[in-house]
Amino acid sequence: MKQRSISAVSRRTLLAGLMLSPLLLGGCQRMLSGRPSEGRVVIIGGGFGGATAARLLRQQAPQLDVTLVEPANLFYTCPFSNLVLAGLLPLKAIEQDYAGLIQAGVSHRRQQALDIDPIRKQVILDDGARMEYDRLIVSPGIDLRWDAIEGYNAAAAERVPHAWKAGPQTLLLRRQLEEMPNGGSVIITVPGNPYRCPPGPYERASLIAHYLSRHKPRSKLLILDSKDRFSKQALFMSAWKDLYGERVEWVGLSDDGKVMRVDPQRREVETDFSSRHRAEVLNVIPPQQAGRIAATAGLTDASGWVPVDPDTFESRHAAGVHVIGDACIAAPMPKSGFAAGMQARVAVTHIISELTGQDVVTPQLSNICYSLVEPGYAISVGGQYEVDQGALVLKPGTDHLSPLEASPRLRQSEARSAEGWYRATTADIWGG
Amino acid sequence: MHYWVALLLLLANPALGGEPVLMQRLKVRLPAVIEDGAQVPLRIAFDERLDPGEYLKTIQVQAPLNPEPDVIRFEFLQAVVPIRLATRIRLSESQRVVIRAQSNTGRQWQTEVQVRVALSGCLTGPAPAAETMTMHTPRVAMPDAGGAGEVRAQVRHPMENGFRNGVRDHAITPNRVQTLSISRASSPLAVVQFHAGTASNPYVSLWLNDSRDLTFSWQDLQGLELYH
Repeated sequence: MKQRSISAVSRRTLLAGLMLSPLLLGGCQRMLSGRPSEGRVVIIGGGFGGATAARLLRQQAPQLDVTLVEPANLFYTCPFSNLVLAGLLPLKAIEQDYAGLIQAGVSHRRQQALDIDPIRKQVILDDGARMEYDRLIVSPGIDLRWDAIEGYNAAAAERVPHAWKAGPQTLLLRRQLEEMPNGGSVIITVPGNPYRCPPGPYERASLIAHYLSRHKPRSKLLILDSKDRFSKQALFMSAWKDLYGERVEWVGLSDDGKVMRVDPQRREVETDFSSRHRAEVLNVIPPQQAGRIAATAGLTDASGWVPVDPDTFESRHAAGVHVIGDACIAAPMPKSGFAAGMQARVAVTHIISELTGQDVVTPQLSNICYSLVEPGYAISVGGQYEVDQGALVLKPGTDHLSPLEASPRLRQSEARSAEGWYRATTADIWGG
Repeated sequence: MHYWVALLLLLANPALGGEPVLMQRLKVRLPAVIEDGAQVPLRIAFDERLDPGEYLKTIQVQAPLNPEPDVIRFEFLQAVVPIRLATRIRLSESQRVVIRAQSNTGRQWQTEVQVRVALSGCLTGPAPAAETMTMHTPRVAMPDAGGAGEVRAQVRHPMENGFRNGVRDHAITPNRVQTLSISRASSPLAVVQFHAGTASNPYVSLWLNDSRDLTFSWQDLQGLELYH
């Protein structure tokens, strides 16, 4: 792992600088980098949005200082995590690190950002240190709402995983599925809109059903949904029928699918109309909100998500602060890793234009969501987006959806496209 | 004296950033950004102290830009205090949803909420299935032991208004649940009128201090009734 090294002399200066006022500190930091900088961009969050922004800034405007504030050394992608929990991939397959970005000249600050001062243009870190910025990109992902379902809090998640942030939770759910006896049942609860990755819960159901059909043939899967309609619904439901028969049951909102209460000890849920369901493996995907720092820094609105200017993804509550990815309100763009990357492009374009005066082309916003129904069988939905009368809309005629009737060859080719997208994108963003 | 009048007028003028004082008593919660306009959760609360003998008699909701603007109407035949309602509505496009309340003595309140309907394009309806046009599977949920809490009632029905893509298709016959009547010990408590803007499988939640001896009856446009 290559790091930009700071000489002993510079280290002393740095320490001296830390004791001086924050404004002076900012100046010292720029001088210490050893080359003139036209500005400093700080990025909070090293996921799809933040890491893409860091990569693009280094590629398109190397004269800018880029610091990525991300406490972790490793990032596990939610895309393809459903394959891990279904036993089709090892965890390592979805693991990314920051070596490539560091090599490209990104400073990785391994700390948590706790707050933002948009007036003084500073990020406050977990040790109280203040980091100056000229422009800030906030890509904090989601936080689970522990107050949304009675009985489902952070402690409950150790027994009833959400696995809606990839990593240890993914492995926890995987272990629980492996340890479940043949004949045990699995329940997945799905929240109402908006939430991270609209088709995600249904891809998860498909792949768990695949695992059950191969390894626990007497086991069944029940989906309790707080919605009546979901992404790629006709495609999923017809695939479930064809591939898994009676193994997968989906209960929508209007059939009393909305879960109001969880008993983590008994792995039991209770719905709005008092139906109770118990399972050997219970996966609760609770309602969500923008990553914590967004609320702390006053960027969120009453919905718990961050309103932004759709042309630049600048926060409507703080100038010079761009919020991208799951945390921002970009509907009809869904909350997806793909979308986060696209939004990073727009934010970076705007920032480069403002800080360097370079001519830049505003990139086209688009999204594709791939879902793997079983190995070698994928479906997708996608579209392009534009700003119309101050709000994002789907560009007419650009929405595409896999056909309901299709040959196995088409399904396979989509599975290959999904894999291709994943490999190429993760290599582009995090690769060395 | 004039100072207070001036202040009230100032507060009452929306153009000056102040909300009309009476608006604040009728609290409405709707998502600011709606991804699926077919099932939009709506919450209404009103717990201002009214004059002795006065109670809220009607609350009606309209979505002026829907193909048919009427959404839902609640009528209270007895005092229900506090008012805490929830339901699910349909919104065809971004607009200002208007909620009006009136008491039995004729006083009125109004609240408007601006919402953006952003059809995600990720949503597709279920595969075409034979949907029955009759009410079925009535569901009721109540707090334990007849105590205070949210009383919920729902019946299955597609609530067909005959519109497709915002245009009336005359080959389709409208058919919907028309009313839900809630009674306590055979004495009428509330009647909810469902209009075109009520979401399919109409859902109503109402806070009651006493949930004993309640009966529920749904009636559709054909005059059929379902009891629970």
